[in-house]
Amino acid sequence: MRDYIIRRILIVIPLLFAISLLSFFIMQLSPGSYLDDLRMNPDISEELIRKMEADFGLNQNVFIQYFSWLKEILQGNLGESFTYRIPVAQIIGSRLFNTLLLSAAAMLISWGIAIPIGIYSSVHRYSFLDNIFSVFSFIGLSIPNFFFALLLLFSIVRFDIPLPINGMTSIMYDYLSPMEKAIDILKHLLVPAVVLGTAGTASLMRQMRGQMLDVINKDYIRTARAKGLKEKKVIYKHAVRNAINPMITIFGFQLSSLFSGAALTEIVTGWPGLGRMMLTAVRSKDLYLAMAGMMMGSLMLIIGNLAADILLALNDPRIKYH
Amino acid sequence: MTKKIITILILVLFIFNISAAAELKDPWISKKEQGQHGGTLITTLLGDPKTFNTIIAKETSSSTITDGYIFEGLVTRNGVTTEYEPELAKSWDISEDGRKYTFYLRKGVQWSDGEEFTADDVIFTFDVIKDENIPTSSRDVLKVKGEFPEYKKIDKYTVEFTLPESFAPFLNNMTAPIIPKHKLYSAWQKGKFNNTWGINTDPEEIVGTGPYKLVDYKNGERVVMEKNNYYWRQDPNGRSLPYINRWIRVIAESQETESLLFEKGQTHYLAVRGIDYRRIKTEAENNNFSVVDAGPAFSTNFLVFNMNPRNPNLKIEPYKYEWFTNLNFRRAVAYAFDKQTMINQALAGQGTKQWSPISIANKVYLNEDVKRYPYNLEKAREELEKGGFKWNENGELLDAKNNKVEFTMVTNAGNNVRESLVNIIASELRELGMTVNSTPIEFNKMVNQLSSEWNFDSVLIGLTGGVEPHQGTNVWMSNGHLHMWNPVQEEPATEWEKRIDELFVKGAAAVDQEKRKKYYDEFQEIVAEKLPVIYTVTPNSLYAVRDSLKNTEVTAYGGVLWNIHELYLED
Repeated sequence: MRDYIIRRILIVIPLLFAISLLSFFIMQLSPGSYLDDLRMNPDISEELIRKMEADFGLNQNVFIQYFSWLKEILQGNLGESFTYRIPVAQIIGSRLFNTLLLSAAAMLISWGIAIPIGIYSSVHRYSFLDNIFSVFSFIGLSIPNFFFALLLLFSIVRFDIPLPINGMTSIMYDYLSPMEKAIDILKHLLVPAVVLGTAGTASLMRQMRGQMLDVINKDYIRTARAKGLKEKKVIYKHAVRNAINPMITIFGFQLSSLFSGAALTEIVTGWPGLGRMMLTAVRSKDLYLAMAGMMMGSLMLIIGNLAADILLALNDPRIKYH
Repeated sequence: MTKKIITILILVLFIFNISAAAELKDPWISKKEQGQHGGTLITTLLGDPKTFNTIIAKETSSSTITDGYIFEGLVTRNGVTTEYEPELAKSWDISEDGRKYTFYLRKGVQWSDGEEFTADDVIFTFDVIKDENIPTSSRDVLKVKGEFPEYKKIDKYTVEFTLPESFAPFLNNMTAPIIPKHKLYSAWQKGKFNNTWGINTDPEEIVGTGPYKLVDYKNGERVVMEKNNYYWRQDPNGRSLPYINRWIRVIAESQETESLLFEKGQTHYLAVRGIDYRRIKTEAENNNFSVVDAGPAFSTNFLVFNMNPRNPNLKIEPYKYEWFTNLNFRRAVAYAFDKQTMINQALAGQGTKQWSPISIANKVYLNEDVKRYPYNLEKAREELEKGGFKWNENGELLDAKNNKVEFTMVTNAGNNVRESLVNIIASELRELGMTVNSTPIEFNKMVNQLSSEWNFDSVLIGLTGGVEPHQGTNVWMSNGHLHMWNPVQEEPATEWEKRIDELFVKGAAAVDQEKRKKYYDEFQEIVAEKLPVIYTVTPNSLYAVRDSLKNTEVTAYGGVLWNIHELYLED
């Protein structure tokens, strides 16, 4: 097992290298550069743009640009943002916690709802409640996040519900006691977390239900029942443990989204996360900021997968790595 | 006992400090009604600032935070009349030949940290702007005939600028914000100016002469500002302005959220979009706010055809150059612009037709008396016939050499107004038998086509104008890089482009406004006549303002907050 983990970690290095190469060149080969916005400004002369191009090193060969970026990043320097002119690490740092908070809350909601309901639905297949849940999950699957968020915000305004509709803290935040501060953030967290959480719930719920249905008809479940085990034990000890494996893999993938943020939901609910900022960075071609975001996402994806594989082994003694 | 002594000591220090500080000799006194001091103003911002360093700021998201509120220029423009007004300079002289500008600074103005503002700060600001290592757009606009004006300190409160030749737009450039030498000099000396005052700076460090100072910035959430206690404008009772103590600017990220926040009663004003106008207007009756139509905005949207002989596509389709440079063709297109439908559909009825290259909102320089092309497809067909075009039996338009008239029309994706304008225009042109392939494309791609590849057919784009027509030189002069239909020409390609070049040179050299207006009037006539770009419609500036916010004078130029120092909140 230990050898396996070490091996996996060693594979990460060339993998990240390849990812960085690919993202850098895709960013650079797509038309335009950060300076395009400035080109359309009548006050900015061609000369100034050329000067800035030289300042940012954008006039150099793409390969030279890539290797100088790589050199910096190997020394732990993520570079400087074109837009903000401060180190990328500081910009990301200022929003990292917010994004983590939102993603964690959303994951908590989606898994917290999906797993129990999935189990319930599979055990009580085609019951009234199972049908209701199915309907809801189909609605959940088909409704776009930003629209659901707008709908929630609109009802908050329409029905005068005492919930905030924008941001992460209220304007009186600095004058609140620590307890009140926590409540304030939770209140702001509610809408975006519910939107993101329920979006994930629907598919997870269907997955869990399907997996359970697969398992529940297996011989060993019949045997367990025949042994006279309590139904609760049959379901939770025997069925769920077997059905959960694919869910763990999904969980691993989802870990990567912890830091990548959810741009559209963030924009609509005004949550100060990384998602929107990264979207703008990619679109405005703020090269190093965008690269940092992409590298962070990839790293999390790799770590998430590794974590999932380890969890799988812990959950299922049949799985062994060499 | 010790406490008392300490208090007295602090008091003494405080008094001493005040007496040591400069005495404000040239205050400005509000002529508006006396208001109440105190209160918190809450407004929204659409995006995060990128920097607090106003000299290198290039995005409006940064400058709307700093300019006019934290930093001020020597002169400013009145938000209603758009005429020049003294700001940090109490007055100025212009020499007979229009080359020498002497500014007399207000005595005793203080930075928000209590330091006195003097001619040294002005000199420092222009030293920084002149420095080639500082990426600022202020430098190029200040250059006259490629030379940066000479400037020198006459005494503590007087600065003098000498230009290589008479240049009227110079005064407009004196609205550039002045920055504090005592805070930024050492950073500039060390070559770190470009990285100074980024968004991670301690707000205490950011010091200006404006009515407000920064106290807190929460990334992605809000900017909090507080009254600058040393501000030089005073209320009718002689107390220092602004009235409003705290100003919280919530970063809303989307216009939907902005309107929801306003409708929830959490903000004091809202820039209303055309599509929201009716809803907000009906709400205004039962709620405590009113909707103000401040008239057409300064923004423009226009269609431009590629008349560049260097277009690489011309190797395959040389006839396109013939079409687009054919004046009758462009006139036909202009007659096919159904501007009323554009206003109704793209701007939800809240817009104005634009005919002249100067923004309709520009009260000083707009020439209303230019050639207009009211919607008329019959006239459009006549123009096409005059231009040598004809139709085949399927009603498709052909040129004199029987080439089918087919071209693309692009605009940047994501801009709803422009996307619907393109659709309206394309459908009218199809009526004329043209085949128009209209697609929204990525902004960067569009800019590339316009500025370096030169391979587009037609583009619908917009620019935001100002009051000073000279700001359009990069667009209108034939050597400009934004002269989109045929950029960076060595010699003007046509007679009328040559004439526009001359008019811009003359317009900049004349000091008298009446004279200048004549030149720019002719320029507007030429553009309307020759149609290098075809204007569409301009949205109106609509604002919903809460009734508790008093002393407002809402205009398209200054918005709601241009006179923020005079605004006050009624309980």
